[in-house]
Amino acid sequence: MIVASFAIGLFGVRIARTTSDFFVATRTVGSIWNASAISGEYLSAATFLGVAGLVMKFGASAMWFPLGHAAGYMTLLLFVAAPLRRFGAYTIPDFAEGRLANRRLRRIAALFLLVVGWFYLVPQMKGAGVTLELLAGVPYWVGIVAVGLLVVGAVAFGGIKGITYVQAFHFWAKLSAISFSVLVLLIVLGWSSDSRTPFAAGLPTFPDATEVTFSRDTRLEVPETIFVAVDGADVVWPAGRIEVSAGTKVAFASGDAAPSAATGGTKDATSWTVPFPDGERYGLLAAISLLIALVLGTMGLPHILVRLYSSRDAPSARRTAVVVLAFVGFFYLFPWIFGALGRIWVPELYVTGDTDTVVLALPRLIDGTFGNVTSAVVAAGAFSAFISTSSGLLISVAGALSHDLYAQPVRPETSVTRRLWHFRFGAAVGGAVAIGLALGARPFDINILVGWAFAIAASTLCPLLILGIWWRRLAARGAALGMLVGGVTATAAILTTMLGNVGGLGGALLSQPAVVTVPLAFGVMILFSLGARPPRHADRLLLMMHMPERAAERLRMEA
Amino acid sequence: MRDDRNTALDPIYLRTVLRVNLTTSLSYFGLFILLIFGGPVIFWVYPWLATTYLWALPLPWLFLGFAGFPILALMGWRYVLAVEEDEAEFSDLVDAP
Repeated sequence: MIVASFAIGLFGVRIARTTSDFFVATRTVGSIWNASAISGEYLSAATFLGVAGLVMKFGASAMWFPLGHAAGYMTLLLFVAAPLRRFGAYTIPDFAEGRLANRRLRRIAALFLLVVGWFYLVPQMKGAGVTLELLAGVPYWVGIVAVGLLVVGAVAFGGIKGITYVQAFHFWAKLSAISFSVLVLLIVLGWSSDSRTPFAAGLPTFPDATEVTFSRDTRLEVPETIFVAVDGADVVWPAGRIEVSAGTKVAFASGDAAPSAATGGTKDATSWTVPFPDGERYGLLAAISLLIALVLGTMGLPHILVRLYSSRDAPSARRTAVVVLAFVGFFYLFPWIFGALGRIWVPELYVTGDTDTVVLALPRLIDGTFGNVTSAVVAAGAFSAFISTSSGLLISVAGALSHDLYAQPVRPETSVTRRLWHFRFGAAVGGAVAIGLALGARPFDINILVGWAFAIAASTLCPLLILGIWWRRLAARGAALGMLVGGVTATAAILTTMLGNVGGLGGALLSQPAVVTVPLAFGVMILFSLGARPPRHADRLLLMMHMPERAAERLRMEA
Repeated sequence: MRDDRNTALDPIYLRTVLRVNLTTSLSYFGLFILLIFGGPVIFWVYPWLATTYLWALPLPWLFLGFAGFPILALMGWRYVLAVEEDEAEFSDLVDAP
């Protein structure tokens, strides 16, 4: 898989000649191909590993993620795809400057593009770290550094042209991998263990005697008293908290309830099965806030939007978006099934806290060659997931660093070769930051991190796009203030949550801030645009974005 | 690009085309919002639905895990057809002398 995608990527280097080729694939890609490429780039470690992990840990209350992720393409389709393609800007910062005739706005948009990009890159790297740890037994940081360097290299010397065909290939590879292995698991392992389905009453229990080696210090919540063997010595673990240090081996007996490394402990079936467990007063608010982030955040994902420009024209951008919606939706039929199966087959992941690896851990339960093949297929899919998404993201991050934040404002007149070197330097810097942050991201669930990237995108780039496309009076001042207010509040809320658990209403809003920050960003943008004069050419630009091709041509002929 | 005569027409075209596009998008967006946010609200208001099983799956799992996706894709496809119809109509209008 890696060899194949790397080979196609290298082949692409030979084709990428000019910078516009390098930054955006020349616009010759058909709808289905382009939709495959967008889906391939989109289906990340979050989709492939994270959704299953989160469903295993939280149950139904994590099930908003798959549908919400797919739904993001609906808003992209309804409000953004066609007009933005007609506008003809390559990136969101390009759009910001082009639409509102303001230099500084480009930099603000680029800044939040970076925040979103890094928030999205970090969980990809975490996926690489836990995958390699599980499969190759190397320490967590080795996987991150190895995959990080690989991706930086591929991006710095490949560009996006080489990656279009690779990404399309990645989509079909990932779809085959996940559907094949779900089928195999359902047939070989089955939907129930000892006639207990994932929804069976009670706590998750070990289907067999299980030994767990802890790779780091862990605080466990033990739901009911069990007898275990710690490093060979029999011990009673009473219900409550237990601290286990790194390197300890603990043997659990078959049929015992699994302790959990997660705060809040293992969920029993009643609270795992329902989306709003008893006692979660702000469950509905949190769910709605999360869905707002997912539904509005997709359009702000830099690596997705840039690909819509590879469509031939606006109608084909629209068709591409709807095909992506169908492709991505089809893919999401599968990952959560791993999460449900994980609850009955690999409860030891609750113990280590590594529920993010459930997709990789399940096929390892199958004996013989068939099991090995399935494990290999899933591992290939996981590699494909974090490599394709992180290379797509890194292209956008490197572009924002080198083009929008450096070259454009500081040295607008540079040669094509120099710009390529700026881009490569940007890729190295962007990759290094992501690697550094990922080293500390181990305690966070992949999909929670990705959800935060969506919340920030929804509070900054989404209002800029929607108002920029649909409201002629949007002014540079309003757009800038709206992005800053939305972005700073969303980011601050998320960082507060990362530093420590806050309870109650405040905690719910801090961990899922979109319900407040998105309307805030829209409100500030509108309020501060009302007083200002709309930029020149606003009418002409809006006309260009909304006028159907045939009518526009006709009007040109008359002129 | 265009002479003054046509520029004078621009605001009328803009208003018409914006209104048509926005109406179509917003009507589909309304349906979409009902589908996406209706789910959590219904399960919150009627918690017994969350423990009602259909084909071995509780209803939220059935909706969020399977049924929601084809509905979304069909909705998207219907929207594309609707917009293409709008655009053809508008272009015919412009074509007419």
